[in-house]
Amino acid sequence: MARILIIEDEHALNDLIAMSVKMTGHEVIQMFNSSELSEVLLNNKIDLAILDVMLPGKSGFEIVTDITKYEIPVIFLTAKDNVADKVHGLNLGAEDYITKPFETIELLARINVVLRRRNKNTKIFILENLKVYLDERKVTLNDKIVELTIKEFDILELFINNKNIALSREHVIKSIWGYDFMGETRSVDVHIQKIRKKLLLENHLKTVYKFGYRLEVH
Amino acid sequence: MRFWHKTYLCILIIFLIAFDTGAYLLMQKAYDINEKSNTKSGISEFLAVSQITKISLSTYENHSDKDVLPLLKSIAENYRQQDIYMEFYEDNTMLFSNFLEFSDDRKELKSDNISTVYRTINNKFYLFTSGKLENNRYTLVIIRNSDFLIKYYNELLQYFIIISIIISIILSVLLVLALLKLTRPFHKLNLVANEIADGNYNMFVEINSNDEIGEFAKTFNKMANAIAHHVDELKLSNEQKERFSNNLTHELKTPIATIKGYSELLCKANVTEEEKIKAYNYIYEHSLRLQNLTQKLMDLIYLQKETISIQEISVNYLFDEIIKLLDKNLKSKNINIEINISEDTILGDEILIQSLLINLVENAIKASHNGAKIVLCSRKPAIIEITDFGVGIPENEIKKITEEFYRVDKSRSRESGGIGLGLSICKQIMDLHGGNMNITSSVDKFTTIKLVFTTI
Repeated sequence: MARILIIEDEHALNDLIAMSVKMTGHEVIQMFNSSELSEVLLNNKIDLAILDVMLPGKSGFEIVTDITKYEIPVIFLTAKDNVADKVHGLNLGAEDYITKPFETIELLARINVVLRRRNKNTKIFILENLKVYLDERKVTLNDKIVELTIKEFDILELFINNKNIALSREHVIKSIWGYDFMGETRSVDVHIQKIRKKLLLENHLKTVYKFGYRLEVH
Repeated sequence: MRFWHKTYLCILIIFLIAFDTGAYLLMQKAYDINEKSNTKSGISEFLAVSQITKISLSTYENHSDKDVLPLLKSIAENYRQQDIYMEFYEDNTMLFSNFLEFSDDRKELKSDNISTVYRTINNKFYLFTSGKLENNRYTLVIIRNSDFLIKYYNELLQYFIIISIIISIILSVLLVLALLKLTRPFHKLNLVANEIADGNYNMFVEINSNDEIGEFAKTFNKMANAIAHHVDELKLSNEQKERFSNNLTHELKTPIATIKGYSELLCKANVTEEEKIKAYNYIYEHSLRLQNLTQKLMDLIYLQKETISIQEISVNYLFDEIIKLLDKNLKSKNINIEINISEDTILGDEILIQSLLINLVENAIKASHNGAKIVLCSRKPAIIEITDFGVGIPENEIKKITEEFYRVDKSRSRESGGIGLGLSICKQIMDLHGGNMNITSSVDKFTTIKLVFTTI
């Protein structure tokens, strides 16, 4: 679990990011302008910042170094979609860059990549009697090791990284097997069945009708 | 070859020709004068000798050659001390000579009057003066050494050459300095022109002379100024366009991102009931915002193409309509409208003027505090004023306020549903009517928007 700072002046987008991020188990701090940034940075231990470029008052480009000097990785969020701006943002020390309109899954994936790179990602996922050690790729149920195949573990990890969010079968295939996988989406169902059975996740790894699956955690 | 090289060579050549010719002629003249005075001395010596001879001869009666010859010899002996020699002839037969023997055409002997000839003999220069004595029987020739003339001439020539060389050197140096100074403005102009060619448009030349170059520099500066001005204008309009497209992108992408994001969330995520309501509200709010934005953009595009139909509109009627249309907004903030009418009609397109006033009164309501008043008044000639006593506009923002997407307070205006196009639409409407929109304001006191219509 990481603490994520969101700086975005549009309330709607700020809330949207906050909801999605919270859903995957992270904690958020929401800011709508940069006026109290230094106090927030001093008083909280922050693992990642999502920063809008077009802010009232000082722009995101102007305040990014105030954040990166605390060794906090920054993901820029902006409507500007040109290469020069991207390069400018990355040169200023940002970890990544995402343009509006963005997909929630994409944003979450990028957050995960950055957190993993900074080694700030969740290392153990605990759900009732289930423990998933993500670094060691080990799963225990009631403290007994459960053997999963490589693909089964990859799928489980994908759902852990996108807690409470429905992932389509196509998305799972794309993420696990890659773009050029020619097989049936049925193989996703087969793997999900096996995971449910092995880990007793029937009540959590739910089917979303006509779409895919969702790992529900509250 | 550079311009100053050419000028330098031309001036140097012309000067040297003129100077050398003048100096040479002067030298010749000086030599001539000296030669003439030497010839005169020769003639006076001849006259003196002939006088002495004549007087001496006259002492003898019936004198013969024998008497003359010794006398002449003694005179010649005297003169010889002074490097002057004599020859004596009787009917072209030489009687006496103390000069060297030489052969030449002795044309002076043939003349009946006194005549002079210069000859060079054995590298020495002599003046021969000859004339007749005693009834033309005798001819006397006085030979005078005139080497000093040649020496004088050579000295002059040497002096002339040295002077010519020295003057050429001094002239060259001065010319180079003068030409470099004179052509420096061209160099400067060239540098500045190059700078301008490289894109530094805010350059000018500092040349303050009153000559042709100064004039040219002035014209050049005028040109550079005009270029800089045009480039600045282009830049400004480009910047404005870029700002417009950036703002438009932002205004379009934000609601789209919101709607897309929340619908995705509702579709895929396991959201709570509370979050669901929040999401629905955001989606609704932002689709309204998009609708509003498209409407306003259409208005702007429509206004840019439209020719308007102008008619007389009753101000009273206009104000009444606006109050009716905005009744809800006014009541919600408990705002009173005060009306003063002293101009009864204005000329304009009714629909456009109405939407203009609605926009402005809406702004006034947004700026006002609860329970405040708004003053609508019409004054002669063809002026409508809208005054509110709300938050006001900072002075430095007034100029930018009619630019598309410009907002004084970004977050507050967005929360109250503004998209920053209202005032630019108002300005366009006034432009279409050939009128003016003037804004005066004081922060936390008042804002007055004065619409000046044309009367014709």
